Amino acid sequence: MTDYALEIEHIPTVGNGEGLLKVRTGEFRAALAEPSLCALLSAELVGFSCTGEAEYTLHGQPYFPRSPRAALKKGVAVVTPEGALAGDLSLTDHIRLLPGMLCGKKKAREKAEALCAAYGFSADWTAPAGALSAGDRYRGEILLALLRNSEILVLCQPEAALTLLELEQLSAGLRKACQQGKTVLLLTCRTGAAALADAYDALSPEPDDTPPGRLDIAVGSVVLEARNLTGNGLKDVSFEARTGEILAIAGLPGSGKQALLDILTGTLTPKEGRLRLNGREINDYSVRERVRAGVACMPGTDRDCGFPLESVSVRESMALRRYREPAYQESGFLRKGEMGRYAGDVLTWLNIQPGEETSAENRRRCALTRETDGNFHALAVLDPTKGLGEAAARDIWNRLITLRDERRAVVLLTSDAREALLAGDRVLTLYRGEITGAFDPAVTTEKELGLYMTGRRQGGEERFDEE
Amino acid sequence: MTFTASLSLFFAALLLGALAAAIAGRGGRSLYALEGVMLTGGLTGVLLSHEPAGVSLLAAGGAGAAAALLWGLPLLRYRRNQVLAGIAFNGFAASGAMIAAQIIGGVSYTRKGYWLEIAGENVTVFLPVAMAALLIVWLLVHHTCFGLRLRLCGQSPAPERMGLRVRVVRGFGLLLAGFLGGIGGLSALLSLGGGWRMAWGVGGLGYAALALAWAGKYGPFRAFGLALLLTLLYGAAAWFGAPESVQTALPILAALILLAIAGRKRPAEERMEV
Amino acid sequence: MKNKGFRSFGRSLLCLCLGLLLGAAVMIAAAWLTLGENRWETVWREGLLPLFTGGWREGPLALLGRAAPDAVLSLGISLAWQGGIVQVGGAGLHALGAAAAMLCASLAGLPWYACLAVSALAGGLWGSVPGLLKVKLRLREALGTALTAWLAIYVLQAASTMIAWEQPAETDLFIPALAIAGVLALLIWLGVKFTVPGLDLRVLGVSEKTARYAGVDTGKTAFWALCLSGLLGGAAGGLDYLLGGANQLPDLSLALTGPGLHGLAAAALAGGHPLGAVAAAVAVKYLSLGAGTMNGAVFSPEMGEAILALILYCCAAFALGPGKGGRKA
Repeated sequence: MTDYALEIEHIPTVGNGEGLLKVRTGEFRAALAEPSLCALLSAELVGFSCTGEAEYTLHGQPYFPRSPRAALKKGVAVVTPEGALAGDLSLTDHIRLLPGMLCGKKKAREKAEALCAAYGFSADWTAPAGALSAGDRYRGEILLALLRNSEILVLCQPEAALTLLELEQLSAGLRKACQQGKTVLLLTCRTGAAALADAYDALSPEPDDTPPGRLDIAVGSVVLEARNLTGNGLKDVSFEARTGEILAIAGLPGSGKQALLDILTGTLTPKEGRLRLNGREINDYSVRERVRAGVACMPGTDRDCGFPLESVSVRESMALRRYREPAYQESGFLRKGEMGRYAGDVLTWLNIQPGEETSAENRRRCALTRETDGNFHALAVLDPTKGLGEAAARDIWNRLITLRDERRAVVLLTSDAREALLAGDRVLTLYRGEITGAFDPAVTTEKELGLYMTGRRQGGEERFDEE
Repeated sequence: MTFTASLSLFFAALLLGALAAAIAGRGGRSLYALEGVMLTGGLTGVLLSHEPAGVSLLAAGGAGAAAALLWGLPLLRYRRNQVLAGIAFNGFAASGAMIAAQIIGGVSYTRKGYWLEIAGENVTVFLPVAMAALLIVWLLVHHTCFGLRLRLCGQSPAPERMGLRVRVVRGFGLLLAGFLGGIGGLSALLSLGGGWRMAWGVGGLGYAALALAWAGKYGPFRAFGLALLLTLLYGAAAWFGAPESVQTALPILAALILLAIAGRKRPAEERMEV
Repeated sequence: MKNKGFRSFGRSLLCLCLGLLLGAAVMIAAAWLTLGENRWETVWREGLLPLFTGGWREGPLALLGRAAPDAVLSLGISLAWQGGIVQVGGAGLHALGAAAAMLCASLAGLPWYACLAVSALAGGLWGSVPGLLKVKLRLREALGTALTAWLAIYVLQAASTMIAWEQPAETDLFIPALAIAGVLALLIWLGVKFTVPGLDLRVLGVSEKTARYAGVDTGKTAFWALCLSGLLGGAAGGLDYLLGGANQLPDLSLALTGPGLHGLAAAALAGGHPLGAVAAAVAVKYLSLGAGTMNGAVFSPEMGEAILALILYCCAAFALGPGKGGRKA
């Protein structure tokens, strides 16, 4: 009998370390890994998939759960940023369903409050989970795992739902839980988050925090101007994107980035507010007219970008935004040859081998190239590096910076404070549809930015998340 | 059959069908097979219509539950293609009913056993059964642990992660839905009158009930209200002496219109589907 | 690409075989309940053998010609399918088309092609109703098409007391019908694959959001997809009448089984591919013609419908569906 609560061997790391992860009972340990590896490990730990590569040992016994239920029975609870809470049910309702609660509303509430008092957590017990912020949902799921008496808590990519500061507060509570015999494994791709644990293993190269290099150019004229955008979850959002700068707008999931992108793309009309491109009103422009006028947009998921590659071929995906232009169609008929040639050119240019088009990294690169190839003035991208590894993310950032150096305006909508600071020339924070501050990335820390992403406002110290 | 009797049978059929669709919907599956479930249950009940009403009702419910589970078996864990599965099941139920009828050698049934004497009035048993079902469904879905589990199954993006036996919970939900749907089917077959033929299924009432459940956002009392509205329409058509097919078509048209009006408001379970 | 095609073909074949297997089980069960002796032999001689060979009885031309209406209907369903739209109202469209063609032929005495055009128009108009409701009021098309189909059939049933049914003047239309189905299949395949509206439709099939980001007018595309699929459904009904396939004014017995089910089964077997839909329609018609030649005293004439329903059920359970096929949860 070893004193390791959880051992993972033969982790498929990409040439970093021996792929070994050992967590002692009562330890708060972190593992630094690329997002894809985090997702793989959490899926295997929770029992959703089994690739057979990594070998898991739980208290000296082989551990290969066949379902999430089996994993929970063995005392392993996994929390992921995607979440599993039901939208209409409150946290109390979820707690009532835990084993031993017998559905008692009062009992559930009491136990939950006792737990919160013990670990210093707080939560909204009665609001429907759908109305909570992503961070509150994440914390709620941790509470559920603790109330379930799970011995081992695996937290996957908490940085996707929580800011660094929130994570720090959370880790104090988790440490208390560890002292009472729980074991916590934090799977993260960020050094800052991993360092919060007692110790961490680097399964992937540690990301360095030096900003990617960029030309020192003067900021030019205003290209894209948004004034008082209101509606669809946004409240009076105004910003200006200028040539030669990357304007990063950082907001946690649910803060309104998606609505902002939709408004810029033209798939959503705001209740109020105006959009101007080079001084011209583009409010009434359709999606196609905006593309022609020079607004390029890259949605946040591959599916939205049109890269599922099921019923639409690669070459059609590559021409998705422009297949109505004369270059790709002749009186209604698609010029498939042209499309194929263009797709081939892009793949060659990006140095993508045939058969590798479908990797997450290459899809993103293809999407970005597709949107930015041609004559455009302003580009809006939503979470361009979500789920990508460090090297791929840097590649995307460098591309954005190249565009900026070519004196285009880039709006980078991101949920990642680090990305905003590394790639942005100017950072705005978005919280519940409101702009809460403007920052210079050179003199701002990630923690500070996180504070404003969770409700603090510049010019006033009131916090809005404690309603 | 008196006018009020036919109305109450029709109403009970719609309400029970809508409740069945609502329960299945709460578990995250749209009961497109309701027509087939109602037909299966109804036929079983009708075949036993010479037995005591309780036996007939229970048999109808049991057959409906089995039918619903049969439809839902491949859909318990993954959504797959519930629409096509539903259409296929309805077709199978209709042809299966005719095959069964041929094997048995014709279906003869009676409406005699299904009446109760309440306060001097002759009332069909389906009316109290439907009202009881309404209360039970409301209590079950909104005030019990099973209801919570069912709603979690329908609303959570990954209900397995909450430690739920998703297949079991959904399976029970479907069984219950099928039970109600089967009894509703019996009521529907009894209401449809003389010229009814096996191949007609329950005359589209299953689809209408599904539309009601959707339009009422799976709320049992909303389903009750909408079913009442459709029954009034059915009654009005009969009152003015419309031919029987028009009389049944009118509620279907109304269900379509109601669903179109409610189109933008969708239950949370259904938002998960998109 | 080739690989993918083969895989989906294999999956369709698997669904077909599984459905047939289940159908055979139903037949054996039916024989068991009705017959005392020689059950196995009867199942084989009176049931399965006619089922698999009966389709040839009139020769290949008649088989292909009779399959043409089903092929056109399944083309309509496949067209909507390409846009991720579930068209399950085939029965109603078919019934309307048949009735319209009958009225044109018997009352106005129009030539067959004019009848066909009128029936297509009727189907198109009726098909655009759920299309309009979907676009304007966000009605889900799965239930919208089903309810409108029931309505159409109810209306025709109510009208059946007023209109006398007349069979078409005997015309040998197998070759034109076949040509129409073939040309339509080719046109739709080319249109979907090689034209701008076709790509619009396919992008809509990926997801509505993707289509909106790609600048596709989703409402218009969905509306025209449903309208065209209605048009084809109506034409299928007209063609069926003109070929002598419909022999009474449509009544409610066609709502759950019958041509609607056949068209849907063919489209599902083909996975929404227009050329595949024609081939699948021939297979479906072959089975349903074969089922018609089974010994009616032992096996109900509905046995064919039951088998086709089982095949469609297998397709659905194996996640061959428009758009949102096998996604999780």
